[in-house]
Amino acid sequence: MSDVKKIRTVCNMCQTTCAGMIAHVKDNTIIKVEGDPECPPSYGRMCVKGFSTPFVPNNPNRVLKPLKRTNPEKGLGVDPKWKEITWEEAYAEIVPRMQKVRSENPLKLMVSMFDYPPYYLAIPWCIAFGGQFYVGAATWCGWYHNACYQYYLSFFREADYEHVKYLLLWGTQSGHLVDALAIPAAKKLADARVRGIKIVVIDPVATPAASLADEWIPIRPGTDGALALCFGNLLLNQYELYDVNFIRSKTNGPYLIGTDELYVRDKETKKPLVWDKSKNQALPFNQVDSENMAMEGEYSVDGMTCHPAFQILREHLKKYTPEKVSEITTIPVEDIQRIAREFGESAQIGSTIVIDGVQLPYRPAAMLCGRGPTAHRHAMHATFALEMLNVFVGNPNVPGGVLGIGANYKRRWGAGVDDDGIATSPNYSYWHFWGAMDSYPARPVSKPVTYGLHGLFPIAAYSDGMFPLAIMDPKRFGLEYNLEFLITAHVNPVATYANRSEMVEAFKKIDFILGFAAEWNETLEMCDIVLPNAQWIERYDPIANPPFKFVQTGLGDWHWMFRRPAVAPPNPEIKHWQEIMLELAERAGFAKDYYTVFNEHNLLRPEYRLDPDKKHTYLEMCDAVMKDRYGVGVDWFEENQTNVLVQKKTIEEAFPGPFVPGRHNIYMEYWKKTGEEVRKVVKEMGLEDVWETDDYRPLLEWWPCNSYEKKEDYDLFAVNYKASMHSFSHTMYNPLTLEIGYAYPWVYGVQIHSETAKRKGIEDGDEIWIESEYGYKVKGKAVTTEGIHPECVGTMGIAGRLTHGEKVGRKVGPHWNTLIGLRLDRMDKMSSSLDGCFRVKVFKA
Amino acid sequence: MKRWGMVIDLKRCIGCNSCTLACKIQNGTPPGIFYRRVLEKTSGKYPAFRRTYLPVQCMHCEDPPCVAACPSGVFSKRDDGIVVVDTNKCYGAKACRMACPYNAITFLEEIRNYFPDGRTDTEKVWYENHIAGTANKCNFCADRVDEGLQPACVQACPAAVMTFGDLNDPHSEVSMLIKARDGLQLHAELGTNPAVYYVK
Repeated sequence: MSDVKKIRTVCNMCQTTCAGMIAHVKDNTIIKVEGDPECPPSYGRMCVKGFSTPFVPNNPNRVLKPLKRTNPEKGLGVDPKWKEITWEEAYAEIVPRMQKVRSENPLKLMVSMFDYPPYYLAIPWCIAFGGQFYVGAATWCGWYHNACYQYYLSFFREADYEHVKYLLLWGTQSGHLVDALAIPAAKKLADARVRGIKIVVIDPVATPAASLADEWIPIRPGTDGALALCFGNLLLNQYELYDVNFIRSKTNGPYLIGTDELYVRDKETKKPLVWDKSKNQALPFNQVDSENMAMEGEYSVDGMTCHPAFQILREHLKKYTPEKVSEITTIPVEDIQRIAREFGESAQIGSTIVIDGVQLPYRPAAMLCGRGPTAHRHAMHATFALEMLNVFVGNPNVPGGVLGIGANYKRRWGAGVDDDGIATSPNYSYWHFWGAMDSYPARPVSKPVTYGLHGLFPIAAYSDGMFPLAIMDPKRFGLEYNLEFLITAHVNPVATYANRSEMVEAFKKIDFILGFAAEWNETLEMCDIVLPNAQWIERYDPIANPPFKFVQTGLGDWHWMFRRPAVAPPNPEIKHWQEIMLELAERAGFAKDYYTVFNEHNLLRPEYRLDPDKKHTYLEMCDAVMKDRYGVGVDWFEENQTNVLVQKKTIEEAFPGPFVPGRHNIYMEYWKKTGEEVRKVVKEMGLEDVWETDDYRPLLEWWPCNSYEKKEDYDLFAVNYKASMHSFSHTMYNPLTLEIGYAYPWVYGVQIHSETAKRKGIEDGDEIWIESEYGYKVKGKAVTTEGIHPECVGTMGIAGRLTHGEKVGRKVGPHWNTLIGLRLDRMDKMSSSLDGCFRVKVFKA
Repeated sequence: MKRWGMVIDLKRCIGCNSCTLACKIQNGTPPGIFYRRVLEKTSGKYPAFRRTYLPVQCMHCEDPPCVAACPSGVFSKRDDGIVVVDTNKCYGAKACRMACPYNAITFLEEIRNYFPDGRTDTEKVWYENHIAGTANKCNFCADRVDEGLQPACVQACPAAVMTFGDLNDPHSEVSMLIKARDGLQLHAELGTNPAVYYVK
């Protein structure tokens, strides 16, 4: 068909931006999409979600005109009685409110967005306004980021699938199309399978990843931290399978710890001391060759008894015996011992590999975890307990191990080191923003001024989890103003965090909500004004893959993706919401501030800075950042009609481990120190009875969560999982992805172990209720299976949409989040994680 | 003479269904119509539970039972072995469906739409090529293959599960894979000699 145009762009059906796409367009209609064979790193491959793109622009679930709520009553199932208004009428509603808030207290405005490509625009907008930021989708994202920053120097990481020989997937299906860089990861992991990799999956559910693996190890929910600490004990104490050179030279293991649990410091330089074995004296760490640093022994410095941190950690872990942990996790002792041993042995500690003529450490064993094991009340401890296994075998950022994403892009940013010799990720200096803050060093502790209570979360990558609780009772958390203005875009927190009715009550407290809507969702039903937003396939996202997450790791090149519109929006007035945000800044009179902060926030070099006194377009702003980062701008991509800029990666960038300065924390001295400050502020605020600070201690622990014990007839846990065809709520409105899910009963059903079902008189196909200890219940169709822990029922995480405008996908499957209540005593006060463990009872409907 | 064939590497397949939708978009099929599916089989007692994924489609048999069974000549085998369909000739006898041992032939009873509000512009283009009351199936993306491209499913697969090539060339990637890893045909005992092989 000669009237069909082929447009090169980049997929955005999930967040990972991993595939170049060619859209076939006829009369402004997408009739086909395919992977772009010329675009690395996907090379023509594309996933099931990407192929549902034709129904993205013409989905009848879209919003086409500005809308104003005429029914002041807000609630689930309450008709907002939308009235179509003009854009000028919309601005007249919005702009004076913005100006009022900005003149009174700009913190009363909050921006909530999970639209990755324009983060570098939206954050400066928010800062320039003086408002606050709430991701609105990170609440279940996975608290492993906290450890990622420190161990892999990045917000995200993946295994080096090209070299790994033993892969421990812990509550994640990485490499199975559900994680960052899905397409290249799937290909590399498939290559590894053919090559003979061993994959072990620890998960309460036999997900596709688990049931295809060499071994599935079912675990009782909420006990992962205990298992990880036991693995650590076995590696360090029983099998002695740890990388002593790595721990000595790249962690704070040799730092001397005093009886006060803090570093023993040099009086003059204030540097942490180590024991120099050759000189037999304590010296600042930066004055001793690491080979001479003592890893064990008892020493005395200025009258204080002290030990190397590594020795303390090793002793501490001894209480996590396989026998005790077997009881906690339900995993047989011999399996625990065997897997620890296999992991340690597979790491080939001491071995090296030559790549491109450079000799590098070779550690072909890797552990990746996801949200599951870390979504708990003691999430910070669990996260570090799991990720520290990689540190013990010395695999961070080396071949075969775990690689941080974009950790060391030397053309523009690299990793750093602080005064204590501890490594800092480039995020700390370069693309720092609320919602993905570096977890080290600790930020100052203060009485909260934001609704994310950031002041009380000095070491968390984000503290989004607190927002709904804070808004229900701001005074309790020291907030002396009300949130009056919320802007939401590309998020759906009402449905994607916890019980919808609790979330609705929180959103009802906000005076005015402006929603940018590509398509309807539950959160938009709480809005006062809804403005139509362009779908991703209708817009320019010149920086399509932000560097903190979506750049291929390991060997190969840097790929900087460029999204261009394949079709025009159905209504010419519909624009990229960032263009509207720019217009709002102009009209509300802070565009000059916006441009100024934009220049600063993006660390633009002088020649690329915008003149704050002039008016700029969205594309000009993108162009400035691109030219500064990549050396080429929008024109280059348009002239070449390409969707990707390829830059050669060096070995130092591919495997930064040996090349970046700094050590990793295995002894969390800064937790201990920070905890003192948190304790003080919490006491001043009168929160000490509800805000536990016991977790701020230097050594990792596991504690049972609130639901560890059965509660009367609430005998099971409800867990959730992902499926390849779904990512975020919007794929539930797409009839193509939806239809694929129907092929497998477990996608929209409720999985229950055959024996458990039998005990309860439930048969395959029965309609059943799941009722949680919070008093909430959801209904679904029982799928009896051998593929789930007998103490669990499982559902897919994002099923069960309830948006009124929805044309398809409404009420398909149960909504897991409905079961969970927001309770302060279920939250981790270090990370803001809400405990995903809760007890349920199950009975026939 | 070429004989086009495919090798499906089950060791690589993660059951993600990217191929299923790539095929659907390539052929613009209405709801419920899939020329390619990924079957899931479960086995084993807890915790030795397993899922196996088996992508299935038309096997492009050397001796295709559908060709013989169809009274109106809907199916024909090209010289390069691709079994193609001419739906215009179909009057809905469904004999092909009975004859095919691979359950590879779909029957389009009626053309439904994906949304309750009517046909989207995309579907208006898609469904021009479909006739209600007719049989259809995978044609190995014959148009693409004639242009020198791979079938849509082969190109799309994130895990590179499928390999496509000439079975008659002993040095082709497909032939080498079949030889090296003992390629199997489904229901080989029926003597249809499928052009689709599986390796484990």
